[in-house]
Amino acid sequence: MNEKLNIQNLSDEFAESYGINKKDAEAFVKEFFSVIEEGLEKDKYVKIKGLGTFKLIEVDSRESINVNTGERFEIQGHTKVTFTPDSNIKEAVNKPFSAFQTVVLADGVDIDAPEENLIDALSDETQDEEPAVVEEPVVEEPVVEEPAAVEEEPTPIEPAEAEPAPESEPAAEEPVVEETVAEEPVAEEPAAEEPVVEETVAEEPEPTAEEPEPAAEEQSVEILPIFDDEAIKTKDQPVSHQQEVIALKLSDEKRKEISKKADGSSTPYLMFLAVLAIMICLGIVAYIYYPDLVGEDNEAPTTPNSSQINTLKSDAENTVVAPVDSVKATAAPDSAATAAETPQPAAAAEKKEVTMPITVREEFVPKPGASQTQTTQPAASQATQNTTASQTQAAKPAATQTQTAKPAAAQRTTADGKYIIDGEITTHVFQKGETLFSLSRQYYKANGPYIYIIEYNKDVIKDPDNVPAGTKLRIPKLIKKK
Amino acid sequence: MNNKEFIAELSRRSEQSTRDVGDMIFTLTQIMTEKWQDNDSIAIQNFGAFEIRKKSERISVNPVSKQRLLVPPKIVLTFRPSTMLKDKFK
Repeated sequence: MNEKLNIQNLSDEFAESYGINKKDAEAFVKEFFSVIEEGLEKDKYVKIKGLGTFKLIEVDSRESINVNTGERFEIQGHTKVTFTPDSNIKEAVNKPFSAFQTVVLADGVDIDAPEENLIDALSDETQDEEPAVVEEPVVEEPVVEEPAAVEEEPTPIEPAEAEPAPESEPAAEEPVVEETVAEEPVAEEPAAEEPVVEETVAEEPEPTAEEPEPAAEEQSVEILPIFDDEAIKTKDQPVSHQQEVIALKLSDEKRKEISKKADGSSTPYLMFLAVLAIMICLGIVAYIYYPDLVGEDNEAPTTPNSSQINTLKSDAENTVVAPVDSVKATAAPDSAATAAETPQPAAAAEKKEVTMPITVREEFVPKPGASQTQTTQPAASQATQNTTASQTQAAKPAATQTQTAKPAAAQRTTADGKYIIDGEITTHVFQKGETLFSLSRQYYKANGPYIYIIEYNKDVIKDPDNVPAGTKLRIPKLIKKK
Repeated sequence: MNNKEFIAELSRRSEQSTRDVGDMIFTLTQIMTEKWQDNDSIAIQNFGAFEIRKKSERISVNPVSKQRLLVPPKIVLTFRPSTMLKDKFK
């Protein structure tokens, strides 16, 4: 991997696979390239099947400016050697990325938006990275919530009000989870209403380790006051509209930053944690002292969030339970990676739960009362309250599960019930560079049904994230349910 | 010089039948392709280096329709001629 091979390595390998002695092999390889050179000299053109085409191309003389002195000078016309690889080689080399296709960008999509599409399209490849990205910006969660909610909901003020609580929550979280205070925030103002709801959801997955379920409400109350008094006051001063505007503006910036993050995710995990911790501290300090600047300092996981929503929409049924599954599925790697008790993963896990209300709302706005008992849109806050309550219950057993090694896999294999398995199309030997998504596309023309492949091959697929090449997969025949 | 001429020339020099040479070329290119697939670069002295590069995604705009296209990232094989080869054809 990433090695630099010379003619010696190449000819050794060649000798081995063709079964001639090394001396002859090296002579042949050398001859091979010198003939190319000669051919170029003679015809200015050498075409080799299975490799590509070498060509000599004339470059006209052109004027240029010496960067140091600013003088104009002429670059002499010359010929240069070009090489165009054979299409087979091109494809072979690009195999890991072959699933990508050029996409037409719709009007109104801003320049950074492609990140979403990419992540969406990639999602099986980025699954490793995604949780990392989500994990990162602990402090900034609410901003995400806002744009999402603004898009989906008729009453954008609500999320704006909801903002302070989740924002301050990670801050309150880490240092003072244990402390107990009375019900101050509830009495404080209507704005506190919603946050409490969010809070309960947010708190849920992680406290379960220590406390039983009914304590949920109380917990949120406990945690709120410590930071919230401060936080909410400072936050509420600026008009909520302004906040929205700022948040929307900032979301661009944030996406960029996230993309940077995504790139850097290959750096060692410890380094990442250290940087994360520092960033959280800075974020908190900045937030306390310069609430107005919060936007500049922080970034929100806008992309992961929306991509989550996307995948939720495409993969899962429009039931409440399904989104919970997939949200947890992404949550799982986090908690699996480190013990759930440490504050950071906990915060991360919590954040994912925070995203849940959004998805729930989305689901509920188009189809009020889809599977639960909720009814009207104006009562959105109540609706979310109820659903989140029910979700937290649903989430809880799973949240405790997530502490074990591979619940993600287990979660994902739950088929969504859109198709019925009816026999087998063929047996497919898994090739290097292929993914379950690519298989799914190949056989079903869609990403979604990949779970059926996993389901059907449970016995051979041990880890859906890492299927070794050469694995024999039986491809089920699927019939769409009506 | 096309593939046929290339094989003929190589077989003349290595004093082997064109058929054998054709097989050898096939094997050699096969090996090289495998190497490239593993992200390895191959450097041939006095000739040049074949390297694998990742091109990041970009947005291209159709100048006529102003349609914006997101071109996905890709991995390409590039050839960088050695200075000797460059000078030879200059």
